[in-house]
Amino acid sequence: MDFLQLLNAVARVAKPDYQEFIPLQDMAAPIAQSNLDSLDLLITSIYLCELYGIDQETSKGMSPATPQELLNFLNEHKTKEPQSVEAALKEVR
Amino acid sequence: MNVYLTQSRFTYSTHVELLDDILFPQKVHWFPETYHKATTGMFYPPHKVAEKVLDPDLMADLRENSAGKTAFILAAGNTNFSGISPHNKKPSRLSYAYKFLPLTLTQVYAARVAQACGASDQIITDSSACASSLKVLMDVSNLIQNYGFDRVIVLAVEDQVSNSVLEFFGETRAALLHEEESKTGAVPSAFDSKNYGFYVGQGAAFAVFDSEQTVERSGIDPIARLMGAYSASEVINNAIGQREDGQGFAQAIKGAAYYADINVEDIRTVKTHGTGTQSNNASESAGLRSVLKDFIATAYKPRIGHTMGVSGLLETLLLFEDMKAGFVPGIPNRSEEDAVFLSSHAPVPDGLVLSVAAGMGNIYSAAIFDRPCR
Repeated sequence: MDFLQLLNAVARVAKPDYQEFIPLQDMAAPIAQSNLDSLDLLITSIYLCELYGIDQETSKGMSPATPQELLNFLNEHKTKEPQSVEAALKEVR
Repeated sequence: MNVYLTQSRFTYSTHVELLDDILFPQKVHWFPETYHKATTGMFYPPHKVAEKVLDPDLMADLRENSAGKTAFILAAGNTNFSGISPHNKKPSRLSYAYKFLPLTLTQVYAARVAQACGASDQIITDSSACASSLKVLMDVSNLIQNYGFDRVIVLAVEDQVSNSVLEFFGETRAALLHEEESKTGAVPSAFDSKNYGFYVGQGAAFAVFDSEQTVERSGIDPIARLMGAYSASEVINNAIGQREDGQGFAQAIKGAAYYADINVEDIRTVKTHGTGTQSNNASESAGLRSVLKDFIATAYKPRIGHTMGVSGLLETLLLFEDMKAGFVPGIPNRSEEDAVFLSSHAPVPDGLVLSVAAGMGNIYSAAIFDRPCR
């Protein structure tokens, strides 16, 4: 599964529908480029921690600047992972 | 400066179910689907209820066609949505642990919704308990008449069917509990000598209030004119009690009439708070009779449940819908004939409409409307 595709899909759910979201194209790109504000990013992070089975205590240590940093954190602490983008979206919608 | 109610959406549930796994078993009017997947912590019941009235097309229209200076008020009944209260220890079908804490703060949630409606000149919340959504109509009038706002949008939503609310109303014996219902055979009604009390109910209301100039400019066909609104308290030592002489209700009605610049004799139709508790029956009927002369009164809580802070506005919108259909509804489950606190439907009289609400914490609110325009 392509992580950028997952991240963009989950972030789109976190961001209010009427606001523009710029899909991230590069694992090294600053997440700020996507137009996610701090609340959107918090919501996105909580969604991803849930999808990767990471408890709230551990998730407090997450402060990613790029998709790669986010993926590194998730891989380090995951207890499960989503099977597909579609399956992930079913859990957060 | 006239203030008009121009657009509205509302929801309530007629699905009544006994929740018997909670500390104080009781029936509720609810949408069970709002608790679907709540245990994952990813979904929040009050937000799910709100989504039922947050019409994306209407919100897009409000956002894209600004009326000018626009405020947003979330009438939330509380400063926090209450379902996350740690007070409750007993697991039940209402148990969950929502993971997005910022969005449980009503002001944060208000900002999220307000911006989606294009209301960014002022975003405020109200926590006046069960009077909340009627109390904010005083704010609506004030903002439009004294502070130059062109539009005020009100969203009324609360976490009504939640462990903490049901426990609170169970502890205080305010709601009609299953045990009592089984023992007495009573069913929800108001101003009745045999039936009494209420079930808690989920519901939400969304309303847009526009200035006279906004209405003229946009050509919107108003639903009703908000003539005046006022909130008052009363002299009492009990913060969750009501005076039997209805002082608080009377003060609120007189205040609303003063600011509406009308004679109270012109009020002919009343949407009561109508919880049907012994205390409210006495207080509200005394308050109404001390101020009004010739009126008919109805109550919606026996039909839709007590939607808490949402009830004042939601029930007012329901009354407008019924009046548009040509009647003022009778109060369900009345056991005796009554031509004032209606035991059956009545034709819509001439004159003005009064809505009242009361909240624990000694608050009483009243709003006066011209007859529905549509």
